[in-house]
Amino acid sequence: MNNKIINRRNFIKGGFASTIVASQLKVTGVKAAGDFDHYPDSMGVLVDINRCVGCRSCEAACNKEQGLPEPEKPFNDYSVFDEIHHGRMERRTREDRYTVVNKYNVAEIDHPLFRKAQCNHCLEPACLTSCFVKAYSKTPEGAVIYNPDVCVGCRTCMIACPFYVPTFKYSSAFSPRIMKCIFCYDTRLKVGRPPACVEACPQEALIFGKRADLLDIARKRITNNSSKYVNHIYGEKEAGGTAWLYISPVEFSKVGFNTHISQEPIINFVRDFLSMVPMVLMIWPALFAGFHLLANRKDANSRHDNDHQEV
Amino acid sequence: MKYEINHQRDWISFILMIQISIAVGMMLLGFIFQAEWAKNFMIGVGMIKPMHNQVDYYTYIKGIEYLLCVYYFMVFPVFYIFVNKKKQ
Amino acid sequence: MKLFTINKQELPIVDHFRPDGSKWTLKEKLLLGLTFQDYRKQFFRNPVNWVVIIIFLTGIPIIIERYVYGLASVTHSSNDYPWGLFLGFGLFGMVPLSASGFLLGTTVELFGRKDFHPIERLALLNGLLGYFFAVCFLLVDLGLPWRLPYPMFVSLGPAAVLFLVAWHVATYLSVQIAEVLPSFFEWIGWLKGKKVIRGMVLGLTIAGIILSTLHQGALGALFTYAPGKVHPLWLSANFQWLHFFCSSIFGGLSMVIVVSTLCKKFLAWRCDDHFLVSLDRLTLGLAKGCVFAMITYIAIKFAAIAHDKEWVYLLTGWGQYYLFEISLAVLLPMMLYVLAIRKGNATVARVAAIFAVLGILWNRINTCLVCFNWYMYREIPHWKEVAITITVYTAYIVTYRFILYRLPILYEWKGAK
Repeated sequence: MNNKIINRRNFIKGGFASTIVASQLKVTGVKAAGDFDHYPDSMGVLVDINRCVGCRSCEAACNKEQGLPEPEKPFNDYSVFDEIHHGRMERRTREDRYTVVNKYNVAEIDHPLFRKAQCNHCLEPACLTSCFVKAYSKTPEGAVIYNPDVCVGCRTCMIACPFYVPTFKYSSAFSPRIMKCIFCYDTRLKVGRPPACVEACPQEALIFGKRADLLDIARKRITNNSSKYVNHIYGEKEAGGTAWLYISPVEFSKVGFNTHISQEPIINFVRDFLSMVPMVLMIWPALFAGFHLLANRKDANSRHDNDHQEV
Repeated sequence: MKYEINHQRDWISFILMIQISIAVGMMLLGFIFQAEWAKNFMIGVGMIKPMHNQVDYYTYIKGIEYLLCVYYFMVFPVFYIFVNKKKQ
Repeated sequence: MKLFTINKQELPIVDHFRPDGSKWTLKEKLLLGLTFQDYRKQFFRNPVNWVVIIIFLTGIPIIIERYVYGLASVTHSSNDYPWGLFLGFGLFGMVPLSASGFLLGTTVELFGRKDFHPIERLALLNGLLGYFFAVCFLLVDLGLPWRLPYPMFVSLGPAAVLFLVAWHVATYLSVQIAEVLPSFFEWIGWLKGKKVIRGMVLGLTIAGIILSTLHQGALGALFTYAPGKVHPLWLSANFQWLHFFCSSIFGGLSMVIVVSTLCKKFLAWRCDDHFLVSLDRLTLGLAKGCVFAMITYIAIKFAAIAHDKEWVYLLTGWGQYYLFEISLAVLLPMMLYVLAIRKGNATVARVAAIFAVLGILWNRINTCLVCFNWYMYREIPHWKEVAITITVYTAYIVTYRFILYRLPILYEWKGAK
């Protein structure tokens, strides 16, 4: 991608083409040619696992803001941390909860650690790229939002999401849909307000701000307290980068993060197939029509014989 | 020959071929001589459009690619029949 | 159908006219020339039909339950395993077994191998029904099945692999209907329609090749969305579509061998001599096609391991399972096929075909369920999910049989054609 455009820029000099290329660069404000800017002013949230105390205020706020059904156990019931669910050791997002806090006991720290999980709002969302009805979109504010009016319920987004975030409203027969965190886009983010969970956090474990600024803050915290943090910002590069970022006092794998996620966005794994498709569509017709003509030997042979006779 | 066609259909395919050639020719000329309309056309159909991420970019380029493929599917059969038509 | 074989020597209804020269009515054609009472009598005499009735009586209420109370009532509604048996078996399993249509279409129509003609129509029908019922499975699985045309007409997401799957299934289904229609036109006696399709046959065949290549491939490419979830041995981001396409070739051909064997054994009264006599030769011909696809498949499977440098996985339990799958599902049937070809023994080829067909299903279920989320827990499908799957598959078998009983698929139409 990168090289291609640089080469093209150097190659086509002067005239209309270069004005177009230049205007395109100007319009998009792309500095490094061909590199996508990912909405430089988009927002994000920094989660500091050091600060989270597992009060579940964010879960409660999210539930209220998004109008989700009341859970069986109230939000001040901390026995949920010890629940063991069907097949999984920890709670995950579900059709009735967009965010969950899980508890982790880590050997090197004397108190438990907590990690809030929700949609990470990828810069190159896998759900979006896997959706065949464009039900998802990435807004300039940074949210990955979902439109239930076109969703067919194929659940490919759930297959594609490397963070296991989207969930399906299986319980509904007539209006099932994907249920996932939308960064409070409709009610808050659109007008510049932080999402409900961030506002509810009593510990300032969640900070809302421009993603670029949050990266700076995270880096500063890591360098200033190198003993308190591992040198990694989860979400800076994972799956092509996410709007939600995490910093942690221990290895991320110990607090429930999937650390095997590639830095490549999911679409890069699908690209090979996608680029081959138009080639098959355009080459096969003539290739197989040609085979057909070549295979019609009887016609050709008789013509050959005729030619000989005429000579 | 199995794919022999009658005169009327022959003419239709001939006219189609001519039209397609003219359209393609004009496009090429327009782009080669950098006509203003060619630029407007590209802007109009979104061939020049700011993109902020790769996923939107792919949605866009794939859309155009598949449209080209669909056009090609219309052109190719006509082309095949025209080429394979035996001399009367 | 024992009534026929016992009481009559000739095939039932192979012409528009009775032996005495009068015309068969459509109703008589549908009832295979029997009276309604006779037809009912032979229907209930067949034990297979009783099994079918029992399956439908249990399964159909569960299907209704699924549409009234939602997927949660019949599945485990897993968010970790969004695709269960309906897609794992119904879509990913049935589609490769339906590749037969385009393969024999290509052989006969494009390369002009008329010697495969007796089995061409069976292969085309096998393709059509396989795809049709894969769509039925999809309709059971989709959350909002009534929105099936959305990706085509309402909101288009062309960068998605599923977008291609949707378009290709829809167009290929139409192509296959067109390819099977001539036998229907012969049967109802509308020759004009047949002639129209005859004129388009090359176009349809080539369209079939294009759509099958991409569509079989796209089903594989769907898994490249989950590079971290499917076990690396079962997933190759670069070659997955080729693995699926290549295995569909021997899957489709083996399915035709299996179905034709069943026809020869249980539907002999419906087959004409042309079909029965040439079947052994054709089976070995198809077997030859299979072995080339299989040896290629094994080679490219290992090329993928090399490409992604996954040799170390072969030393783990997953690796043993992988090698076990390759040996039992591909290597064994391939060796049996080779044996059959070398000895000229069609029976061995038929045994091989059963292994190959089950092997394809096994591979697809492995990719979709067993080796999906391989570092997590395994999802065991809900019994109702299994029941629905069996019911829809039974509907497939019943439809298949209904058409084979009547249309000139296994026999040649004696009337005008």
